Amino acid sequence: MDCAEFETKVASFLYDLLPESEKLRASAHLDACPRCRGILGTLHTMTCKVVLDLLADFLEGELPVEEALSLRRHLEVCRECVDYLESYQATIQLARKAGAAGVEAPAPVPEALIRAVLAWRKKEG
Amino acid sequence: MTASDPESALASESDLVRRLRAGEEAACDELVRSHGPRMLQAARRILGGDEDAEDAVQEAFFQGFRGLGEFAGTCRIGTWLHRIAINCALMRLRARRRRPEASIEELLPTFTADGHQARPVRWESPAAASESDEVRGIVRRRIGELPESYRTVIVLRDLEGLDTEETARLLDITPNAVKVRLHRARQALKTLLDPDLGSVH
Repeated sequence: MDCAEFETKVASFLYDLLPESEKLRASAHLDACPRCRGILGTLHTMTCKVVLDLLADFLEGELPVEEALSLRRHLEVCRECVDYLESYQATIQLARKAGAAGVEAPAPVPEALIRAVLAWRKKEG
Repeated sequence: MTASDPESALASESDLVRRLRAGEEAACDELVRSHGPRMLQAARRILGGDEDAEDAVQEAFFQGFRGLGEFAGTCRIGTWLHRIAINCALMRLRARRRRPEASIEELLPTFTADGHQARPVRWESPAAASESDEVRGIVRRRIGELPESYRTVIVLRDLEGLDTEETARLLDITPNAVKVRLHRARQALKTLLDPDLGSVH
C-alpha cells in the first residue's frame, strides 16, 4: 500500500472498518511511513465532539487545510456526524427562512403608535 | 417606469427625505406606515412582548427624526431606520431587570467518554424541512425559547440578516464572540427542533 491509497483508507482503518487483508497492508505501510502515522494521529484527535465544535468554521471555509481534510475524512466514516451536519445546515436555513421577507409579512403599525409619532413630530417641530 | 424600478425608487426616496426635512406631516405619516412594520417586527423578535416593542419603535422614530439632518443617504432610509429600531430594542432589553439567564449547556450536544455523540438524532428530510408554514411557526417559537443572549444573536444574524461586524457592534462584543455564540445558538436551536423534525436512532 502506498501513501495515496493509505490516505483514502485512513478513516476506515482508524475505526476498524477495513477487511483483514487490507488492514494488514495498511499496518505494514504505517510501520514504514512516519508521514502517514502523522495523518492517522491527527484523525485520531478528530472525535465527534471536535467535529461538532468545528462545524461552523468548517462550513464557512475558515478551517486550516489539514484540519478541514481531517474533518472530511471523519465524515466519510461517521454517519452520525453527517446526520448532525445535515440537520445543522437545515437549522440555519430554517432560521433564515423564518425571518425572510415575504414569508412572514410584518403586521401594520398600530394607529396609536402612528398618532404618537406624528404628535411628537409636531411638538418638536 | 414602475415602482420597483430601483432608480425611481431612489428618486421617490430622496423626495420623501426632502419632504421630511421640510416638516411635511404627510411625509412623516408615510414614513411610519411604510417602514414601521418591519421595524416593529424586528423589535418584537428581540423583545418578545408587544408593548415593549412598540415603545422601542416609537423611540426609534424619535431618534430618526432628530438625526434626519445627519442622514447622509449612503444607505436606504429603511435600512437606516431598521438599525435604529434594533438598537432601541436592544437598549430596552438591557434595561430590563435581568433575570438569571437559562443555561445553554443542556441544549448543546453531549458526548460519551470516548468522544462519540451521546444522543444522535437523524432528521428524515432536512432539506425539505423549511417548506411548510407549520414548520416555520414551530421554528419561530423555538427561537423564542433560546436563552436571551443566544436568541439575540440568531435574530440579528439569521432573521434580520445583519453581518457579523454589525452584530458585534450592536451587541458590543467581538466579532469572534458573535461567531461562537451564533454556532451555539444554532446547535441549541437544532436540539430544540429535534423532537419536531428528527427521530432518535
